[in-house]
Amino acid sequence: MSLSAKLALQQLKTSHKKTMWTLFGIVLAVGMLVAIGNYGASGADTMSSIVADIYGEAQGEGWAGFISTFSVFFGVVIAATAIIVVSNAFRVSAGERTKQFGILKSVGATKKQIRMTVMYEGIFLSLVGLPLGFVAGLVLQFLAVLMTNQLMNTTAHQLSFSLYPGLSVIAILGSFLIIAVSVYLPARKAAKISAISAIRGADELKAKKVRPKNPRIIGKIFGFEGTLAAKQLKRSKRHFRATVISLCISIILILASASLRTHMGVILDGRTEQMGDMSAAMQFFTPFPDTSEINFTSAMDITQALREFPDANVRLHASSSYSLLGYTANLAAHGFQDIANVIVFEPEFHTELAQLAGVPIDSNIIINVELEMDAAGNFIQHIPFSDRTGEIVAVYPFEYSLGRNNTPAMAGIANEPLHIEIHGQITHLPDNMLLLADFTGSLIVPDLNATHYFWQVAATDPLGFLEYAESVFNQHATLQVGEVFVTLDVIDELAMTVAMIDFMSAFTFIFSGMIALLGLTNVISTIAASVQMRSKEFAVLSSVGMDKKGMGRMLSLESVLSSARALIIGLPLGVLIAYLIYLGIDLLPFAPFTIPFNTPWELIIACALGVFITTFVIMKVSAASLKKGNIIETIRGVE
Amino acid sequence: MNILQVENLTKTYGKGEAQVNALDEVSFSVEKGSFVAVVGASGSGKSTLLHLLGGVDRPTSGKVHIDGQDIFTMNESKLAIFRRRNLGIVYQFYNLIPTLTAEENIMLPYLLDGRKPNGATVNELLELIGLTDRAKHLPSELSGGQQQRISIARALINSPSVILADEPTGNLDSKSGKDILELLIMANKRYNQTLIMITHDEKIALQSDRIITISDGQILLDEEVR
Repeated sequence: MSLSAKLALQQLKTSHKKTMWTLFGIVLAVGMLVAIGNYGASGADTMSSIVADIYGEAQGEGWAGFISTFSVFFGVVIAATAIIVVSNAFRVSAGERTKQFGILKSVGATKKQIRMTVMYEGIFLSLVGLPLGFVAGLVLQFLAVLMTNQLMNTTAHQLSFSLYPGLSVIAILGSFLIIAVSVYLPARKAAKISAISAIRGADELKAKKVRPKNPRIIGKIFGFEGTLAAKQLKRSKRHFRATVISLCISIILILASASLRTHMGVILDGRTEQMGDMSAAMQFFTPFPDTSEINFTSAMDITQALREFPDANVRLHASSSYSLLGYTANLAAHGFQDIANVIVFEPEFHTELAQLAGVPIDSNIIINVELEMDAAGNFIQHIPFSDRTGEIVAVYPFEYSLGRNNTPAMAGIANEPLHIEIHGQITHLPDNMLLLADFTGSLIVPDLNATHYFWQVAATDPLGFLEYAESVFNQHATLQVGEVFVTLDVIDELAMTVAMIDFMSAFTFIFSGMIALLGLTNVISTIAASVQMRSKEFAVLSSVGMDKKGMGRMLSLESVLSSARALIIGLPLGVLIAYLIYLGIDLLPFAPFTIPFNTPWELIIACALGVFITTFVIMKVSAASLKKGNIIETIRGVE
Repeated sequence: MNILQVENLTKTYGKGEAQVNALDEVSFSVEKGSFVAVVGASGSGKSTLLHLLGGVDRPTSGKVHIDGQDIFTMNESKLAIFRRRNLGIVYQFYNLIPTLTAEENIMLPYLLDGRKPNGATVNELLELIGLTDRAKHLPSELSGGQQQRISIARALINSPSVILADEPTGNLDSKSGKDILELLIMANKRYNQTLIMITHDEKIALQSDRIITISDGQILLDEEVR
């Protein structure tokens, strides 16, 4: 074994406590990468097959892609945290030995030998950490799957534990790369240390070269111990920066995942309320409404036949989407607000709406209402615009063409607009028409050559109904190229949405927790090392008469000040990201109502308390281990 | 024969008005096998001189030849290798590697070279410093005087051309200090090794062959004692 390897091994043995923490960090990082790879992949498989069963292969693949992207995002956050944590551990370890490296240099060690001393530490830890990490990864994945299924127990869908060898290999190689980078940077820095500064024993003095200013306010409030604590934090800014970053990442992830779960849950509740007694649905789509066998008249014939099924309440509507921007605009430029939804209902229902709006039966009516959910979970109706009666809207039909496999796709916008005059408006949704919420902002016309046909059904036997419905549809029409007919088990669809939300929140919850744990190892090793490195300083302070109480106060203040910094940065950032996630969810297309932002006060308080208690306890425990040392020995610097 | 030759050695710190000449155009040479004491007040530049002679610091200008080699023309790696093969350095604060045993600390220059020294040589040195029974101890298990003896053995192991000692007794009680000094002088006489020692202690200086007094970065006096 070379000297560098031997020195590394000795160092690992000597500071075995710190070694264990570093190893724990590495094992956790490797484990998390292995776990997220396999968990994400099996999650993508399971979820996409659930979606594919209901919505078809293409939708399923979309979800698989979304979950994969999500996993990669988490993987990157884990990798970044791992680099911060692991490289900090090695930097502290190398920093402690500045003097040793100086001695080695003065007796003739080359730069490379010094660098290798640190590198070997990384190599030895990898040799143990990578296999252990792989095993830990399997355990973590198993626990994550277990927890996910626990959180998803409201649904029939379950995640399975499966191993993807390719992904596992990639995760392990990635971990190795992370460790290599994390070790190389401090190793290179250690090799640059000049022998002379070490010989002078100046390493400690050098750190103080940047003289921290007297923090007057803190000194006034907390006395001399406060001044010392603040100075210490400023002096070892670098060590504490990693601590602050890890704490911040943990806080942000916790707040973000809570926001995701809370707001998705609110949307889901609202959606369930809106669905009311609807238990099944059917949908027909034609890209070419002018030549299709199905038009609104034949659709009403089908509806009549459907109503013969026992205990089935069927409602029909048809719709088309139009561009408000006109044929000069490009398709991709269209946002939600640039598309008009034009709808036709069955005559009886249209009459009801016309009466509600106070206009003649054949009128065009706009549903001029916006839905919002208040903090108590009740819907509030708003009139978002001014009275639009009398307005003439020019809408441009979208044109479709057949792509690969005869799948229809929007291909363009017609040159000639359709002019729709608004005769009246509905500004309040009737209680028994909550489903109208889906059509807020839409135009209701008495007749339309529609592209989409929907049958919403409340039936006591939805599955039997859907079977019957399919045969009825086939008797009335033959599907032409590009046309699509699907039946939908609403209860199944809701269950799937619940499963999806539960899965996503379990995912973020579990892995955010793990990243927080990874950050915690860094906090522990940083604080412990900082206390250990200053044992001499403590001894000097106590030799000039600082009592145990004062020492304890100084350390407590240090932990409070460093926690405060993490909270000052982490909490606002976390709330901001929670708010951004809320905005994203609020804009989701399947949520035709706005929801209020839920400020997570309990979590904010819990985070603050958690950070304070964590740092405080670690500081106390490290300080307790110091008191065992003898003052004189420490001052003499016996190593 | 001159084992060490110093030419116009200058070391300045800082720039402009804050510039300090720690060493100012110092030149001298040392004959092989002699014992030179370097004395001077603290801040006079004697430690800077020793660091430059040991190649752990680089001069602003000037040259140092050891055993005929111009050490500052070497790159850092070459200089490091030169140092472990040709120089022995003893510091005031022992400077041992805390994770290595006494024996391993002694062998350090060899271990850095990837070689294993002759076991007999190591045992002879351990016997010389009277620590044969402490070979497997860690530095923290040894007294200050014992640690310093280990560091002297480390400086002697590769039979260096020059031993540089920076107040090697400064941190020890008088009994241990006396032992250390005897050890260094014995090495100087027995192995004909050149010894250059910084000291504050006049009594120690008087045991040398030659005393160089440094003041304000320049040689104030250079006198043969015997």
